[in-house]
Amino acid sequence: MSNENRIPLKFGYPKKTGLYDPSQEKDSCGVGFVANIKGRPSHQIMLDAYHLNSRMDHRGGCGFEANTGDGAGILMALPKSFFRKVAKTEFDADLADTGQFAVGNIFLPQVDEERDICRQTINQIIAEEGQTFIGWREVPTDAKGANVGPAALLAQPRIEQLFIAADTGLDQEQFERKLYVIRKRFTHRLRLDTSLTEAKQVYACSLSTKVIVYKGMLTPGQLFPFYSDLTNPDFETHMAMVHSRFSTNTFPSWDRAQPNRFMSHNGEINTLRGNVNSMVARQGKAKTDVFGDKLKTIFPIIDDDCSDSGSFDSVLEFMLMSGRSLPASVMMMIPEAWQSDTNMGQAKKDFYEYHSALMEPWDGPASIVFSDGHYIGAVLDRNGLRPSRYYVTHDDKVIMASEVGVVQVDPENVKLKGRLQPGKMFLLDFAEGRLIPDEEVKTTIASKKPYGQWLAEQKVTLGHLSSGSAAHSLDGENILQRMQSFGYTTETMQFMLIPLLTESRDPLGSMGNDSALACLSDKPRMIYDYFKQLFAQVTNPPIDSIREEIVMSLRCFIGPEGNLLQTTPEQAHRLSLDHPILSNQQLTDIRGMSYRGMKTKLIDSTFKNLETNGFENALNRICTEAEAAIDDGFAFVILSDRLTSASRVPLSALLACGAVHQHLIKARKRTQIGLIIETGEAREVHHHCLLTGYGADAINPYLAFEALWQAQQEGFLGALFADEDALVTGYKKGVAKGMLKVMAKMGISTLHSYKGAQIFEAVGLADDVVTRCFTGTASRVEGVNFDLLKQETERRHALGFPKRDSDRIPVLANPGDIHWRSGGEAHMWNPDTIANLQVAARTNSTEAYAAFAKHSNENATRRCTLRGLLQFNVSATDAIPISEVEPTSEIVKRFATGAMSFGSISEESHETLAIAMNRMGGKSNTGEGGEDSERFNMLHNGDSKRSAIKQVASGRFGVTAWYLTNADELQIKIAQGAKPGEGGELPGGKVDEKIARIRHSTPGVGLISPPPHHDIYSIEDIAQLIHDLKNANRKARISVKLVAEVGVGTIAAGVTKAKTDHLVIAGHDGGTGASPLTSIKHAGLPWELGVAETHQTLVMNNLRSRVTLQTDGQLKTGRDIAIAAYSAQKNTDSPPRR
Amino acid sequence: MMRKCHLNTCPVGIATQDPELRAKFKGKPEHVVNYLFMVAEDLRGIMAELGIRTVNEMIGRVDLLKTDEAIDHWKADGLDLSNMLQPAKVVFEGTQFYKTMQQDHGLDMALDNELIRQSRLALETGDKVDIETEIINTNRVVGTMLSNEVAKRWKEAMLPEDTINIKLNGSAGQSLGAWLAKGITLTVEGDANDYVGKGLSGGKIIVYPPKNSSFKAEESVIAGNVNLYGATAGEAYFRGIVAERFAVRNSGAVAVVEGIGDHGCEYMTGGRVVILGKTGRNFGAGMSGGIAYVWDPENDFPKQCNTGTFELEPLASIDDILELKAMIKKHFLYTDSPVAKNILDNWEQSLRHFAKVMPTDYKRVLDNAV
Repeated sequence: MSNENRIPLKFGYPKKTGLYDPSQEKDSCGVGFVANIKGRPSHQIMLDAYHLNSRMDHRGGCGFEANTGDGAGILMALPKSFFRKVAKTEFDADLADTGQFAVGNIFLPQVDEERDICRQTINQIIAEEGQTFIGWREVPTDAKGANVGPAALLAQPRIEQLFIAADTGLDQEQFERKLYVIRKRFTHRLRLDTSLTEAKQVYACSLSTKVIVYKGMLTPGQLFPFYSDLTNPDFETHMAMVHSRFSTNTFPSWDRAQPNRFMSHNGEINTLRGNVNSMVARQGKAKTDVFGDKLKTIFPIIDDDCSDSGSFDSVLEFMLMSGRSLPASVMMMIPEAWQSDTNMGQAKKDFYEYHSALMEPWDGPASIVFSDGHYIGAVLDRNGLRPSRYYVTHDDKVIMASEVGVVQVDPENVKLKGRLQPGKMFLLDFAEGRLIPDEEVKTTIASKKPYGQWLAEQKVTLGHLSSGSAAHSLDGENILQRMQSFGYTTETMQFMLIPLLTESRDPLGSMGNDSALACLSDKPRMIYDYFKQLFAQVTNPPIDSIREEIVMSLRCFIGPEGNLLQTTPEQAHRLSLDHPILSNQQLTDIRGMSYRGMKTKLIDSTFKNLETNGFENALNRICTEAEAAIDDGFAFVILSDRLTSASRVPLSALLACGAVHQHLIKARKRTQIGLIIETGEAREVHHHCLLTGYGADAINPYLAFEALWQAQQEGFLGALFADEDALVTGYKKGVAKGMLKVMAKMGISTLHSYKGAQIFEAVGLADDVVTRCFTGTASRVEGVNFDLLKQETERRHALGFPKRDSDRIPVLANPGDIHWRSGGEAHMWNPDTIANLQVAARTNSTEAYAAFAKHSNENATRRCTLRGLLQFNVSATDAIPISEVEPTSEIVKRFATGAMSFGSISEESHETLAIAMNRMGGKSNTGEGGEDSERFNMLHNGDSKRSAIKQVASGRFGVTAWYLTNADELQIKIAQGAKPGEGGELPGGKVDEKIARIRHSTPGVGLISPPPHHDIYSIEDIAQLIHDLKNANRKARISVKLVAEVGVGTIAAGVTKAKTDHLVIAGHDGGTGASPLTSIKHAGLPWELGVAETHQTLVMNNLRSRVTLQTDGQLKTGRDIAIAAYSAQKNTDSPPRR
Repeated sequence: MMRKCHLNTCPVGIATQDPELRAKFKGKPEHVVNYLFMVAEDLRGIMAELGIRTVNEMIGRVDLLKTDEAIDHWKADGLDLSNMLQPAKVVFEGTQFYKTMQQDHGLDMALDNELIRQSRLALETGDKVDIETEIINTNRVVGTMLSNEVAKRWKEAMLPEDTINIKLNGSAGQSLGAWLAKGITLTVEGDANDYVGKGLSGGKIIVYPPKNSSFKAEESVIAGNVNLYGATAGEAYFRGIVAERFAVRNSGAVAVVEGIGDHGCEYMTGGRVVILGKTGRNFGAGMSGGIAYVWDPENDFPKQCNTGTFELEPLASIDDILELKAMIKKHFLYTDSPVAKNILDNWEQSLRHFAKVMPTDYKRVLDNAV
């Protein structure tokens, strides 16, 4: 191997390379604590914590070395007497009173000179902040005794303990804030110091008068033997929080172990990008007396290379230091599902609603344990997706952990065994010496201020804003031309808009997407088509937005935010919207509003046709105008393309929205204005999701209303939706259902957190477009730039408003994007490919196969897929005689059929595939519907209908001990290419006697597969399911099926660490019996990207040697399979559909 | 292509369950075999041209691929596939590029190795065995490997009820009794973690607190989240409260419990669940089959229900009443529950406090069958 392909790494993550991106890394864990309720310190707490941590070893991860862990750590109340002794021996210093000295463990470079520089810098900053440096103590460690693995040892920083004393006259809280500033300052300065080769080693585990953290890249069992302080009998504390980490990589990193400074987190923040962006924007308006002009030195609140847990901790700490209490801050960041809870008390609801005006929820599965020494508490996300159990004993001990039984307790001593409930908080107040129930904590906090009264006085609703001006009617002029210029087609109406209204949901379709990627299409495509929706797989669960509607909400405050660090009535002075879609009247009311200081600026987002640089100038102009609007005191801007005409060309609403949103974030002003889009362009659920995902606060899709109104007038909607209001209401209802489902796919339950969270990936957009309008979005295949987007815009505009009137077309185009048609959009399956394939298969005709393969490779695949753009590099090697190549009979053993259930397809077709694969030595797949046990027996003629691969999907239909026993491979289907992140439904009509028997259900009653596996909400959970299945059948190999999306390589690495034997990376174009068209078209990636990313990532992690990699998705010919193999997989999936 | 799989009207008999349409299916196994052999032959041709002898040799050889320069397209011309075609980078010494080793699943550590050894008689001859052992949370997925042995030896019928009786003392690790085979009974004196009875396949699981404990079982949590997920048959008895998502996608198991968390019986399609205590929010969302009986003396169950697919009924039919009573009696028998005892002692009075959760579709189908 050449050296250019080697990237040796001592510590930290590798830089972004190829398809690998370190920002995709994720982790999860086991978490727990032990505490004495009365706050009495003892060393027994440490011993208990040791057991607790060691017994959750299986929840932590390890890499390719069994003795290199992913990270373990412990946070304790500062053991003061221990450190007094240490300070006396080490520095001959007498430490002052409690609260007047601080100790923290600091990671420093291994290089001596660099470490000296770091220490000097830190000492200097301590002096600048007016505090007294006491000393540095090298923390005693025993790597050998703890049997720490070589990779962890190589990466280990020097671990030193910093002792600081308070300046006279400072109280504890003031000193804590000084310590915070000191830590932030030296961390920013040193970690960014490019002259230090090991700058990124610098990390403060904690620096506080109250708590201390010991942690490292260790297994839970190694933690105590490694840090001998922890086993010193003098080391006494009243509480200890422990954490064991499971990450999706093997890269050595000591600072990513948890606990963080004040909390540990088990779970994942799904909305991180949006939360971080908002925090950046909020820095512009944050003000507080407690820091005064020092506030700027703390920024950025969240450091660039922070994990989701680290980011959460940084914000929590920031709020804490600014004067909010720990429990109140946590309630703000992880609110209960208050919006539609009819059982919740009003005061608490008011608290949540008021604070939703200040900050969006940090959404995702989470069990968070927090402590500042005074309190220790824990909270669970609104959906209760992580386990958290506790015991309270008669001798005042509380033990809480992800599992029970981790600390041995005499049953007679147990007073209570409880669990943390969804959205609920558990709090121990050591000063009061008691456990405070959720209801009491929250009622106390919620009644501190008259939130309800503030809301009543300050909150603005659409009802307040009756402008009196008439809105545009839905009888628009030259509607056909405008529809054409915004890219409407007959398919838009037939498959998307009309069913959205009549079925009141995102319309359904079936089979896979086989049409061209937007970046390969000959047609001018909407910019929305270049984006793929991301979805949750493995590290967090998708949600069922229908069955679990109680946790979902579209309600948002929009308009200028106040100062995050204050709690005043004025912060509730924002506009509350129940739905992001605005009717024409609502938009008009907002445009014309002048309500208690709130007014709105209208910005035209069109440009003059044929003007030189009109497109670029318009993009610049709207950004400048939006920023100016903030400076001029406007509360809202509307970006409008209403002026579109023969002479005015609209900027794409998505580009305009993205450009303005990003511009305002960079200016630190985004949270000071509401961004509303008035556009003829957006109409589908996917469009609205993209607009809100890239920052829009509300959307008025006027042309969609007009187009539907016209359809109504022409009788396409029957007698329904007879007036304009009913039509708009119906449209909003369908959109709401669709948007909730798209959010739920990613496991996000509130629009408030989805907004601006950028849960998308671009395929084929150039860097300049992404950087400017969609900053931070992954786009690994670059291509279409502003010039091409401009061309597409102009071509579309010319469809509606051609140069010569005689060129006008009297009807909408039908591009054949959804259903193939002659002359329309390219599809891989078209009459030519289908006919030749049928002849080839039925007559075994090599000529027909050759014709099929030629057409498929050279025409269909080339026009539709990324692999169509590749060719074999024949000059790189010498050909060999075909006789030297392994025989077909060996190759076909690698083939497997797609996972189609009996139920979704008929018995005849299901069994035919099974017999065929068994004859060849390949593998057929049961799909998710179970299998008739009759089929486990051999037929008389030697054939077998038994499927070698037994699928285990979220519905678990027919998954019994006998079914599992009869498998060669057990496949955990996490996601499916056609509808990743979604469940499925088998309508009652398809459930006949036999299907019902096999699925253990009732004939005629419909069946639902949930979106998530309810035993996989996190990476350590899939490790458990893999282990469970392996126990159920030790001979079967365990496989995990994922769908390609950005980050799938990282997930795959995590799943490999979770001990899977086999991985399937499915392409986005797999088939389905039924799925929303939005999902078929807009979710998931081509397997070319997924397979290449997975191979690259697994190799980088040294995990590739542990798994077989397989792919599926429209593989049809030898060429397809060769390309798949070269980009890394081992087995291939046949295309069984005919 | 028709693209109408979701309509059950597939004209070639593939994506349909309609017998008339299914008769139109013309596919034969040999068609599939023909085609796939031609694909493999096609692949061999490409391999020969590139000088590759085996598929293993091909894996990850992105150097043998390049962008096709000949493609002339107004958009695709500018596409940059270099990230995709970049060779995988090596960070650690000794990295390999395809599967060369087996994962260590740690099966040798399983408590089941010992249980299988002690169950030898039952596995070989079907004789009853009794086993008692300590258990802690690191003993995960207990009973599952043993179930696999039962299935291998005794096939689909497995063993008669209570053939292998295992008493476990302590805190059971996750996935206790996953896919537990018929004929095995696991009794835990202590408590349990998440996923108890996942995929329960005919076995029986009983969990009650230690006899010498001082807390009230019916107010304490005895087992974790997502118990009986995807259970198809068997029985489970919990003397205490269990956490969120109890009996999700249960399709045949019978269970008695003294309180549950949110989202209980979600997507349930069969079986019986008796709840002798409080339920959390969103009970029965998407439940389309089976029946739940809930003891609700304070009448706060209705507001916890997601009644999209079911109705609450009073307990009326004698069959229902007998079924319920039998289940509660067993619960008392197995767990010594004072809650069960109290209900049985005041049976007539208690009956009035039971709500019956009856899925609408399920009821319609059952009614039609009569």
